[in-house]
Amino acid sequence: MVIKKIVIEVGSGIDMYGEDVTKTAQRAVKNAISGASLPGLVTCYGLTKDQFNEKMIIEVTIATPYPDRVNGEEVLSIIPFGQKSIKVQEGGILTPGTSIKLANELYGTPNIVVAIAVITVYIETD
Amino acid sequence: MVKKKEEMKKFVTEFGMGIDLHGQDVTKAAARAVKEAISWSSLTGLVDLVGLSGEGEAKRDYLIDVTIASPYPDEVNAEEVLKVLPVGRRQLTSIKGGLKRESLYIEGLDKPEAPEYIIAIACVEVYVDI
Repeated sequence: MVIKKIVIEVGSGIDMYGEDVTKTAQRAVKNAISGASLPGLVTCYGLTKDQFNEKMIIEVTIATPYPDRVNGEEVLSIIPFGQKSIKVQEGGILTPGTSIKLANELYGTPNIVVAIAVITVYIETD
Repeated sequence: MVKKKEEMKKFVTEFGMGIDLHGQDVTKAAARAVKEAISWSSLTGLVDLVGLSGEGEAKRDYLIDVTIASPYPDEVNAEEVLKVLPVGRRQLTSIKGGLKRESLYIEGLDKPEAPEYIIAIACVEVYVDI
């Protein structure tokens, strides 16, 4: 069995209110996977939809402030197929956002968080 | 022999949007759309499929097929837009679409007759001969 690296996708996500790094990471993943469609999995590698879960290996790396607060399982739920794994590291951006009273009352924080996602897609072939 | 895309296999499709805010240059908007389309992913699979090297040379043929949808398809300079792509045999189809919206005329930046925002959409399809 051979494992081949097919594509690397990059995206960023933002949470304007609430410092929810899981939500931010989910948005980064969504952004990364939304940029490209991969018909080559079917046309070039002969996979069928039923094989996607078994044959695709998807590695997600997230760089975000507060990496310990990221719920990896929820982030991976954004990706529809494959054997998924996630690595979270310190990075991204934490910057002062709006200090309007409402945002503070609702979310308890005025900071904006930005996260980056890098997704590497591999497939297993015989 | 160079093959047509219909005889090849579609490997990846990417999408992007490009805007020219001042100057009404549809070629610039189209080039930006292509740039955005290709900037979010790295097609490592081409190394395996066609033997692509770091210099853009490949053992097998591959084709980059660009479709641009813009409000003025006849004014798109295909050669200029395709310069954005770093490697590969390439071709462009220009169709009507995208978006135009009236803007504010600023002297020195916009054309006085019709100041507009021009928005183009790009679809970049990569075909391989395998």
